[in-house]
Amino acid sequence: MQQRYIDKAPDKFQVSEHSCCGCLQCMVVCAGVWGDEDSLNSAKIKVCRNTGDFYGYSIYFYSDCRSGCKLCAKWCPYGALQVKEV
Amino acid sequence: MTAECLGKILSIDLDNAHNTETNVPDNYQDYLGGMGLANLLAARYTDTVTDPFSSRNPLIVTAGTLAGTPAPSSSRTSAVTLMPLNGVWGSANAGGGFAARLKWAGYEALIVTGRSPQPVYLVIEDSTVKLLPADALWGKGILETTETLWRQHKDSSVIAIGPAGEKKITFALSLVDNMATLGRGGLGAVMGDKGLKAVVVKGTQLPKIVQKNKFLTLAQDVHQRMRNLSWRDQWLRQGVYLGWARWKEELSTNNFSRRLPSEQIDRLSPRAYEKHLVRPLACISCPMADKAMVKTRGAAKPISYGLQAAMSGARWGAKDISQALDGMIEANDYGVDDLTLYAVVGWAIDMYQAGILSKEDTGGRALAHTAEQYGLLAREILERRGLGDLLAEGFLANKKRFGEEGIGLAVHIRGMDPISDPRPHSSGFLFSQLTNPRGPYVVQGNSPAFTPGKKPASLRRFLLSIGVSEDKAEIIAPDDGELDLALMVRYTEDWYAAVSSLGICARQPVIQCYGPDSAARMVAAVLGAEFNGDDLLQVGERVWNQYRLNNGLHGQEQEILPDQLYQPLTVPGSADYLLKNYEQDREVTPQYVESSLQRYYAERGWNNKGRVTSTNIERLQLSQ
Ligand code: SF4
Ligand code: SF4
Ligand code: SF4
Repeated sequence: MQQRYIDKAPDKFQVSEHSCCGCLQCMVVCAGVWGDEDSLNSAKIKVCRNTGDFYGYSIYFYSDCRSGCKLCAKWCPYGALQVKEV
Repeated sequence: MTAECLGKILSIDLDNAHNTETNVPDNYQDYLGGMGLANLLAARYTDTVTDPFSSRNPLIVTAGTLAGTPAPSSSRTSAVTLMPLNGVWGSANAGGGFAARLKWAGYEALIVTGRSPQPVYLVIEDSTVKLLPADALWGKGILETTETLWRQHKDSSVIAIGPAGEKKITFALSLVDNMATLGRGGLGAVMGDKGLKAVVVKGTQLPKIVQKNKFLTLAQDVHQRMRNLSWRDQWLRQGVYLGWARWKEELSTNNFSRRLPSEQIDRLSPRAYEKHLVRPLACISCPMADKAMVKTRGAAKPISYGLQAAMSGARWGAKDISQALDGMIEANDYGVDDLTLYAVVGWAIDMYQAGILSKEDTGGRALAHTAEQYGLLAREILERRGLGDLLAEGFLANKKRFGEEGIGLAVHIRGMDPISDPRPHSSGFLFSQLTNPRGPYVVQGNSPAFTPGKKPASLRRFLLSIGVSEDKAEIIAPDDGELDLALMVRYTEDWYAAVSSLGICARQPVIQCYGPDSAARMVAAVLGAEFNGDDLLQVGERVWNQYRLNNGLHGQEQEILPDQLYQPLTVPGSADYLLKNYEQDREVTPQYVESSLQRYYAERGWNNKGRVTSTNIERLQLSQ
C-alpha cells in the first residue's frame, strides 16, 4: 500500500473545522466509495474528536485523496468542507 | 443470507466476565434491527425475569438495520430492559454515535446480564471485548466519565451512568456521548445494579451493503431532501423548540395543577434559549443537528435539547432558561431524569399539603411549591437521604406506604409522569402515552395533529404518507367529524416502530424525508433481498405487537389517565384549560378515553382488555 501522509489543507477545499458537527458523513461516504476494503480506515479523510474541547473536531486528508471527486464536500451538511472556486 | 451481511450479537455475562458471539436470529428480516431486534431478543427473557434488579435482567442494546451506513440520521440506539421505575419491559431510544460505532465494531446488538462484584466498564473495539476496572470512575458524573473515556479510547462512543444510576434511583438514565438521554424509566439504575459504569465502543468495519451504488443514490436523495427543507436553519438553532407555540401552553407546574404564568414562559422561550446556544451537535450521520452546546455561566456544555430544560424548569420553577439549562445539565450529569425527578418532588409537596406527609417525614421542613423546596428535596432524593430515599423509588413502589390517597395525588401513567400537560391541546400524545407499555414518551404519537387546527385533508395526506389506506384515513380524519386520535396512534406507533428498527431518528424533519417505500428500498439494497414498503410497515406492526406482548400482563387496567388531568388546569390571568378533543369542542371524560381505547384495541386486533390475541401472534409470527 502506498505510504499515506496527512495533508491538513488540500488545495481543493476550504476547511472550516469550527463548522464541523461530527456527523462523519464525509468519512463514511468516502470509505464506502473509494475504500478498497470495507474499512472506515480506508477513507481518505479523517475527522476526529478533539481532546480538551471534546465537542470540536479536527479534519485531516490523506495524501491518497482523489481530491477531484469532492464527494466528502458534497455530503458535508454543515459547510465544514467547501470546494474552492477556481 | 441475512446473517452473512450482518454483524453478530455480543452477549456478556458480568457474573463470570464471559462473552459469546452469536448470529442474529433467523427471522431478523421480520423484525429488522434497533427496536425490532431489541424486543425480539427481550422475548427470550420475559418469562423468567421479573425483577429489574435481578442479575438476570438483560440490558439489550441494539443498532438499527441502517446504522453505520450513509443513510441520514440512522444512528439511533435502541435499548430494552426491565425498567425499575414501573416494572415494564421498556423500549428506549437515543441519539449519539453509539449505534453506528457498534456496527463498525462488527455488532448488531449487545446483551449484558449478570452483576460485577467490582465496578467495571466494557470496551468493545473491533471485535475485541474487554472489561476494565471502573473504580476510578465510580461516583463521577457522566460528563467527566465520558470525557475521560474518550481521552483513553479515541474515536469511541460511550454510554455512561452517573451517581443516580449507581445509587439505583429508579428514574436514573444514561447518556450516550454526553448528548442524548437513554432510558427514561431507570435504565441507568439497571446498569448501576450490574456494576456497569459505562460501555465504550469503537470500530472500523463498515457494514456490508449488497447493492452499494443503489444505496448511495437513495441515501443521497434523502440527505438532499433534508438539506433543502426551508426551515432547516431554524431547526439547527432551535430543534424541537420550533414547536414552542404549542409546547409553551403545556408547561404546567405545581404538580400539574397550574400553567406557568406567561411572563415566566417567555423567559423559557426559544429566543431566550438561543442566547445560550454555542453551536449544534450532530448524531453520527445526521444533517439535522439539534443536539447542542450551550453556555450559561461556566464552560459550554453539551445537551440533548433545549426544550427539555424549559419543560423540567417549569416543573421546579426556574426563573429563566439559563437556570433551567443549569438544572437540566446538572441532572443529566448526575444521570437522573430531570422530568421525573421534579414530578416526584411536586407530588411529595402535594402529599405534604394534603397532610399525608408530616414534618416528621420531611425532617422538620414545611414543604411548598417553591424553587427552593424543589431544590432541597431533589438533593435529598439524589443523595437518598430521609424522605428522599423513599421518593427515589418512584411512584408505584410507594403506593403501600402513602396509601390510595397518596398515590392518588401522583400524576402518572403506568408509574411514569406525563412529559407535558395534554389539557391545553390534545394531540396523538394524549393516547400514545397510555398505549405505550413503557408509559409517557412523546414521539410515538407524533403527527401534524401535534399542531392545533390542522385541516382534515392535511392529516389525511400525512396518514397516506405513512402507509395508511385512503379508506382508513377517511375514517380517522373525516371532513365532517372528529379526528380519531386514538385510531391514528395505531398507525403512528407502527411507523415509529418501523423507523426505530432501521435506526432512523423519529424527529420531524428526519422522518418526513423518509417514506415507507424509500426506507424499504434502502433495506433491500443493504440486505440484497426483496423488501418493500408494505414489508416495512408490517415490521412496524409486528414490532409494536411484540413490544406489547413482552409486557403481556400490562393491559387496559394500566391505561388510565390520572384524575388530575380531568380537572381544570388553572391559567393565571385567563380561562382554565379543560381536557378536550383535538377540535376543542368536546370534553374528554374517562368514558371518552375508554371508548377511544376500545377502538384502538379493535384496530390492532387485540381483545377488549388490550391484550395481544393468539390470532395476532400467529399472523405476525410473534416470538413467545
Ligand atoms: S475528495 Fe473524494 S477521495 Fe478525497 S476525501 Fe473527499 S471523498 Fe474522499
Ligand atoms: S461531513 Fe462535514 S460536518 Fe460531518 S464530519 Fe465531515 S466535515 Fe464534519
Ligand atoms: S435530528 Fe437530532 S436527535 Fe435526530 S439524529 Fe439528528 S441530531 Fe440526532
